[in-house]
Amino acid sequence: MNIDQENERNQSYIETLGKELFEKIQNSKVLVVGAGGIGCELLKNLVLSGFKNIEIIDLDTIDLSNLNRQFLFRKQHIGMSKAKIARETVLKYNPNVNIIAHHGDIKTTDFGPQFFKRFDLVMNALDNLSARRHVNRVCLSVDVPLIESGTAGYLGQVTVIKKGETECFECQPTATPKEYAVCTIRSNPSAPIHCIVWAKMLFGRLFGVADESNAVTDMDDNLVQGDPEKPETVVRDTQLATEKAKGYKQWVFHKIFYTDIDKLSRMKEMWKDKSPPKPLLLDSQLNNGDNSNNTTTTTNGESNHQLKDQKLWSLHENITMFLECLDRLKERNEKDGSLTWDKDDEWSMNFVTAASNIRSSIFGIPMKSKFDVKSMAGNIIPAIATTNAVIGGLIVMEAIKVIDGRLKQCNSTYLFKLPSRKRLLLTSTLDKPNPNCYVCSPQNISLKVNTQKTTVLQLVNDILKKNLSFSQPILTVGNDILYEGGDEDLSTEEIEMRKNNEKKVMADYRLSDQVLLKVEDYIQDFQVSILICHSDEMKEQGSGSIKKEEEDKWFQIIGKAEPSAPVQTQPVQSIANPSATSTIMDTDDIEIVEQISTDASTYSKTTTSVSASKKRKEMDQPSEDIEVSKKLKQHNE
Amino acid sequence: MSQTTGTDTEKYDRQLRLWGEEGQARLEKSSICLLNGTATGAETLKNLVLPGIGAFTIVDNQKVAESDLGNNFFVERQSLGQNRSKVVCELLRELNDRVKGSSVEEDPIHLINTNISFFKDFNLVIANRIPEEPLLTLSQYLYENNIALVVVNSYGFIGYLRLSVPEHQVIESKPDTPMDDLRISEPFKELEDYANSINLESLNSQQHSHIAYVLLLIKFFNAWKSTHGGKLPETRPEKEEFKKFFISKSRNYKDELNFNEGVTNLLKAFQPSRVPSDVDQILKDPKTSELTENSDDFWVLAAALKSFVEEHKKLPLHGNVPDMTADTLGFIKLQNIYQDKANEDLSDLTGRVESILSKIGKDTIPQEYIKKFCKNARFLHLARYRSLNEERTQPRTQVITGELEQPDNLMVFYIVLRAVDKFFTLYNRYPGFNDEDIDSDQSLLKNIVNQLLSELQIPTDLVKDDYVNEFTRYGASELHNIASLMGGITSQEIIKLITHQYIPLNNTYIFNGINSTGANWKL
Repeated sequence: MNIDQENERNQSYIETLGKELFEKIQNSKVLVVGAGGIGCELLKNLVLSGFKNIEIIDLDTIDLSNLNRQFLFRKQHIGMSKAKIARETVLKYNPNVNIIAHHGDIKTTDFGPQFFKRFDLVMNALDNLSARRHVNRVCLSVDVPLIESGTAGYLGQVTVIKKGETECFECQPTATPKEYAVCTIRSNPSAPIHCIVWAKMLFGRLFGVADESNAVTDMDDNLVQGDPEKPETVVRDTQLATEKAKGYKQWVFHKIFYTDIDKLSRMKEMWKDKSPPKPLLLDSQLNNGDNSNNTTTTTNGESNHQLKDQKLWSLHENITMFLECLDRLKERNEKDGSLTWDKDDEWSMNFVTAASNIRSSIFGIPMKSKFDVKSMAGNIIPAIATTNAVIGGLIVMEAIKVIDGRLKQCNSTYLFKLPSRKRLLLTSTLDKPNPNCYVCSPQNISLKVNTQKTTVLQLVNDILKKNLSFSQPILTVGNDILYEGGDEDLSTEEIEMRKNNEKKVMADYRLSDQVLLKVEDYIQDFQVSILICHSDEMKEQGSGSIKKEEEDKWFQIIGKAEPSAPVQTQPVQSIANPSATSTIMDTDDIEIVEQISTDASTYSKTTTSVSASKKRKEMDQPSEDIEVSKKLKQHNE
Repeated sequence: MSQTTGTDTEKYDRQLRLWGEEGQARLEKSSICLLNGTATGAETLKNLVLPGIGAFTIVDNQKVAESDLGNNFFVERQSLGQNRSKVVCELLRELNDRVKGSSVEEDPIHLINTNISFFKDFNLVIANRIPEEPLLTLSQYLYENNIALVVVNSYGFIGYLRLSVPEHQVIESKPDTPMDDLRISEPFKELEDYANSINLESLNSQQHSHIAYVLLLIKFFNAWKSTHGGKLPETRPEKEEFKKFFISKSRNYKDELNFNEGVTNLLKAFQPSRVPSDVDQILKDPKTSELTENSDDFWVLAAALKSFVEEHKKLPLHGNVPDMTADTLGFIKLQNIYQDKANEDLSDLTGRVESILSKIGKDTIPQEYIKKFCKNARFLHLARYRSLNEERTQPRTQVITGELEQPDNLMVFYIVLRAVDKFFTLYNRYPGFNDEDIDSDQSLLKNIVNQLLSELQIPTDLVKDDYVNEFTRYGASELHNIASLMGGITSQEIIKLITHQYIPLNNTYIFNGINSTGANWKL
């Protein structure tokens, strides 16, 4: 392309932006994190707005369900790298730009602070909380401005983050993901979601990586009543062995829908106020033939079900489907090794639908259609082209201001569903950093915990990684490194030693009261000092009372913003707070806090993370959090 | 209704969760016409082709130019000089093989002036960069034929969107936070009887803490009424007093979640169920009493609803019971009570519909549709958009002036855009299009702005010269980013119109890209 052509092409930009700014744009280097719905729009807009040096990263591959909005992809691209195809498609239309595509995980050492330093601006087009927090921390550490964005259905949001000048992504609290007590899941379900979570656990138990903490069932245990120590009290289900001899699917069905249920139904204490679950025998169910119009209907029986997936299966259909799933998944398991549950995999989804519905039927809970189960199991957030287009456009408006050094004029913008009064977009100025933010202000935090009861592993996994979003924490007390994550630099002995240390309770590993613990993360280039405060009052993890709100109170972090303040008293910025919009984004993770074991007398203390798929999936948006839409709405009015 | 196949269900999964299969079927039946395949037009269509409208047609006689390559994603270098409608159409079709696309190589203005009936079979027409006169011709034709018109333009950093539909009915307006329809303060007989049948004193503590709060409130409202002359708490102090009374009835307020829920929902529970004003307006609409065999199903249903409300003084019960603390059996019982009553109301309404149908000699209405209407009776919405001609012949001067008097208002852009239209009509080019004319164009445009303001009887000093100069500087340029953003906003409103879900904006929207602000008014 010659100069004249290029000038003619860019005429509009030069006229409206001015030559100087347009050159700044052309010379800038920018990073786009995420090549999903927003990422596609963003890449297109950047290229057609004069940006010439762009890198884009995404670890995901293209899925059929992306094609209703991620317009740089076609059917023939399914299974390929999003970042790479996005680059190819854009270059086809605009060969004169430099785009580098990375098919990889932004949270790994390949993309540490050195990588980020190369850019004048980073733009997040991400879906999940942990990656967003990670990018936030790295951008703060290398002082590169970050534009943060998200969409959910018709809602969307864009904001700008700059070290020392604006709020960072973690200045405002985010709600924690929904949690269910293990006893509810395992023994006492009362809603469809409980059975769905159970079915996902069962999937992991049967076909996933062996995981001791997955307590959903013990396949060979046929004890249904009594204490094994006192043989005279014991009742066993001898039928289990017979079924096992018949074959795999007979065995599994009998175990989970007969033996386990039989055992539960014998716990008279639990069924004082409601009818006990009824064990199902496979043979009698199959002989029953088609008992369609079975017992239950959906709670929300309003819509006219026309789609196959929206039809409610009868109990008999669920059983047939469940057995077929067992066959198919077992075969795949034997061929490919352990399976990871994926909402977009047909048979994984059929399995969870059928298994959860059979269990629901046993407990007298309404069954759900596959479509609805998918929503709940996959935590699916609606996503459409229109919202992404608006958000993609808004990001570039902010990007131009950042590149032009006009940070003061940058805004936070929210897109609403319904134009109320005069607003479809709500724009507000950027807030100052929260001086109490442990991420962007140098700040110590305190951890109140029972150091006699909490293990090092719980500290690392549940507190440091899950709650404080460290990727690979290194724990130091004084000059001694106590704990180092990641396996790359460690010898087998060191890993072995680490495993032993993980089992210790904190107090036995120098992490006792009033110790100042330094936690560092090299990938995030982030560190924080934590003062450990022992408290006898803090419960053991998972031993909280049955009341929902107390489930997660086994540790407390002081000095970190906590989600609690009522909406009305919040300032504008936090009502429509980006982090609030982006709460339940680790979509495949449903955390289970184990409370009481089925035998009410013993307390157990495992935490199971039903993490179906740890990979960041395609979602380009935070969740349609009802709270958020409420908050947005309230503000809008 | 067209059946989406398995693969499409999967491809459309994320949007089906937003507008459901009925919304999708409506989209798939729609046929949309775009006048001018500019960046703004193409980006709007892109967001409609992706979710799967039925068909689109692009009318455009321009050739792909270098400037299109600079701002339009749906043209390619090798298509330079080719007809733009054809090129954009082909590239858009690649996005979704289920969508039919066609192109008409003709000047849209010529088409409007010579063959206006060309537009009669579309559901919706998107007009981009159509001068005022032919636009008004088109608008009038579409309005008379009950076809939606969407005007969208991007001009420098400014975006303009205008919707116009003679009558738009929304059954599923899907409010963000719909109130539960529980009738606590005025329970129907079956509900009240059930509440009365529960003897709280006889329950053990487990049972006591698992009586649904709805029932608790009904019981204690009755208890209150019996000592307060049959009246519910009305004033604030009375309500506070009731709250204390209610809490005092709990055996252990800290642990009885059902009592906690009662207190949380107390304010809502005091509200009697009323007919919302939007719905009331529909019921009062003359169309409900002027039914003929040609009346829409919507109006037949509205008439039936009107007679229902006249008799029962309430809308039909929704029937849904939100999750609340209760024992399973009790909850199911409660659900059944509400559901039975809702079904009773539905058959009452259906009966009224049938008698109206037989009176006016109209065919039956599908039961599903009646049911949907009944369930959404509280959220019905009707909009009659002002036409573009009305906007000009009966301008909303007060609204415009009121806005112009505000600091940093966006109405100035509306005025200047109107003036730019007139400029184009007069000089057959946009102001500032030629660099050498910028200075003279500024004063020409300023004159037109002043003239327009005087016509509207608005003081001319309300539009500063800066805005006129800014627009002249834009020289009609279309920035991709603004085009894309306006395409997003426009297609979103079009989807609301086509699916008849959610309430679309009414009727004019201005976006200012300089500070990412927008405003909408009924003009």
